[in-house]
Amino acid sequence: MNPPVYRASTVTFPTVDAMNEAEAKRFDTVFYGLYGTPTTFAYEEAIAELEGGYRSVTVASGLAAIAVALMAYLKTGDHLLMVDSAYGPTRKFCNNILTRYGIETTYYDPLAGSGIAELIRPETKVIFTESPGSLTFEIQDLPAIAEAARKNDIKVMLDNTWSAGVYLKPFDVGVDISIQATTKYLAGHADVMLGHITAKSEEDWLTVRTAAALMGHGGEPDNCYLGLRGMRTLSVRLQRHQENAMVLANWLADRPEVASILHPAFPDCPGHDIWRRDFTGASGLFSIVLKDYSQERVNAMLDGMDLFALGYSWGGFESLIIPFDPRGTRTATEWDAAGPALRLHAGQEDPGDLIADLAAGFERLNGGT
Amino acid sequence: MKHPTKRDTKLVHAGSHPEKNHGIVNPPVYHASTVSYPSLKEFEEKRKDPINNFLYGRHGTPTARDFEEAVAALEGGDRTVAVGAGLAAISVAMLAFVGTGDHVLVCDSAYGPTRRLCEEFLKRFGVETTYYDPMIGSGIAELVRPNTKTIYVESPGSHTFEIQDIPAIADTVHRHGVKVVMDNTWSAGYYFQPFDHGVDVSVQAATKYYVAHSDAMLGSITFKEADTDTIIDAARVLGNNAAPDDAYLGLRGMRTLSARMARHQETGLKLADWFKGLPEVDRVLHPALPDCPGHEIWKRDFTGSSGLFSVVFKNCSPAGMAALVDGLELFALGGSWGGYESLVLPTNAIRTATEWQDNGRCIRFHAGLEDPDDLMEDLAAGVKRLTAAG
Repeated sequence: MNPPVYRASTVTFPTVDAMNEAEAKRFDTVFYGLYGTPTTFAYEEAIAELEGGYRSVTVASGLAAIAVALMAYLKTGDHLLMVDSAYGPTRKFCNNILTRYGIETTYYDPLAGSGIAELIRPETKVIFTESPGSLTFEIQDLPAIAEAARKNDIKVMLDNTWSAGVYLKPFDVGVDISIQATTKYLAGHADVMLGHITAKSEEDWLTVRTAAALMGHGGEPDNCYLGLRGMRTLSVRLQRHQENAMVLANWLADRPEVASILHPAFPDCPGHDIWRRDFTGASGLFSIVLKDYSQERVNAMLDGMDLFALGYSWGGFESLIIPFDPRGTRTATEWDAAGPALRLHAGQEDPGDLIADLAAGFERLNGGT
Repeated sequence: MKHPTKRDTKLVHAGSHPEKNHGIVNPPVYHASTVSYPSLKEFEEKRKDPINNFLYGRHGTPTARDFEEAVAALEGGDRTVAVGAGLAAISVAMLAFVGTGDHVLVCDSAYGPTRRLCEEFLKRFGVETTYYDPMIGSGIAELVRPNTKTIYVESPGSHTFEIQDIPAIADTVHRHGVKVVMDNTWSAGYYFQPFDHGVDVSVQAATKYYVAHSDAMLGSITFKEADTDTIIDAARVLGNNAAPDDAYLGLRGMRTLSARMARHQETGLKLADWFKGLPEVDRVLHPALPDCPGHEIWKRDFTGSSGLFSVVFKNCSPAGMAALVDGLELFALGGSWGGYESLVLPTNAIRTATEWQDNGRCIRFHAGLEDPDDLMEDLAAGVKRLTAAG
């Protein structure tokens, strides 16, 4: 049923002719471990099919996928439009690496929609989107952005990790390049670092594939095996993540401690109507804004959690919670929340147990012990 | 922590922490993305030192850290970062030090994909590359410009085996604040100590002699304390990291490096000497033989040789080349090297700064762990086929 884990560097050939032939199609055949094995090819094929693209490229992390995709299309003198709600390390990559190589980044309001046209310059090559933002959950109007991009021959890239490629079909809403931190829902067990880039067209796939090869990125066999293994249970896991997150968010919405729910399926969430139009479901990650509690009370709440672990990343079987504060990070928009914000990932546990854990947390938040 | 001083002892003990693992000799393979924290206070505290704490799988695991510790100890650097391939190590080391408008010097004998990185990638980002004669030594001074940030050395070149005068190069360029980045894969850090010879950053395709079983892609970047933030930041922000299974296999391979290297060296020399005595052979490009450019520098700076070398034949038609190579029974035809098996690969070197006329009659061999007499018999039959084909 499952592909073997091919651990490979050297690949041998019967003749010099056979080797030269293999080199000429090094991305399509087994030529050298770095360029892929039947293990990585099987995994890339499954991803491309799930996302509805032409073909995928696998690299060592979601961030590596973002870096490779951006560096594949940008060069010195180019301009990038980056969503203001982007994942922190994506921002750091733009401000650190791209700036150093003479590529200017303009951050834009995630709710810009067709208004993005005003920010487009002759040298703009890529519009990068992330929908929803993985802390603040703005849903972007991708078809409107894509239309503006198409008129100006600009590539639209999407960080599609939240939907896992299940609840949003990127190429149906105008995206050219879809990126995921496979680490999250596809691997699904918090035990793998992996990223992928899926291209809509053969031409775009080759551009990305070539850049990954130049930079020395390849799909690691054990991780690709685990990524593919995780995909086999994605539909049931994601359904449970969705249900549990909805149960938690509904319960939280009625709590007096909570000021607002940032979950795309809730009207509080910026872009909720777009989510209803473009997405077919919601995964397990969402945020809440608390009323005006002190840092000390929030710490008391979080430090005592039994089931929700405090840690980065998400998409695994386990529930997670982290505090966050976008003030000081954003440059194109204002983050003006009533109080401290928390991001939750609803894992595969029984939702009743998770609610009990949160209820006890709120007691600590309110000054109980 | 243990502090072994001798090379072979380091290979057995560096990066070894049974006390952290129930007394078990080898580290566990940590499969990790999320790392959890008992409290927000600890979370915040660990974030203040992201380089020395395990914050997230992408920043490394204890498995990778043990491998990194062993490489740093062997190479004599302060710290190592493991990434997913030798080429990834090269690209991180190059990107870490340069920006638009900068200039890099790369030896004309560099590994093909390194050249491609410069031509097809760095160029797009406004970084200019000048290729230089690997034998240039202190003559490199003439090529250093005010915007030169890095010089890349690969000694020996992995197809043409020129040994570079790294101390002379380092001494010259350091006066201009230029970093010396070396591809040290051939010596495996076992026969050459980069930091004793002026190297600032030593890169290896750990795929080769460390992993050594042709079953993992892995790269290492080793450096001194002063470059820690620059290199680790570049690796992190580009999303590079080493997969835990591969790091485990890399460390596992290092434990037998000394025994393997002794055999690779012995067999490599036996085969090279045998080739040298053949009338069909023009010259043998093995750093331990006088034919090899830089042989005297090798004697001065290296303490041994690994199993990779090339042979230039006097006459070699395409048919003769195919007859020799295609008919070999024990030498497999394939890229890479450093594994237990013998390999063969026709040389196809690209040159722009120096002359190289020997593509088509130069063949690279990797001496594996087989019995050398069996290997010589296989090669003798091959040379016979070469002669018969004309």
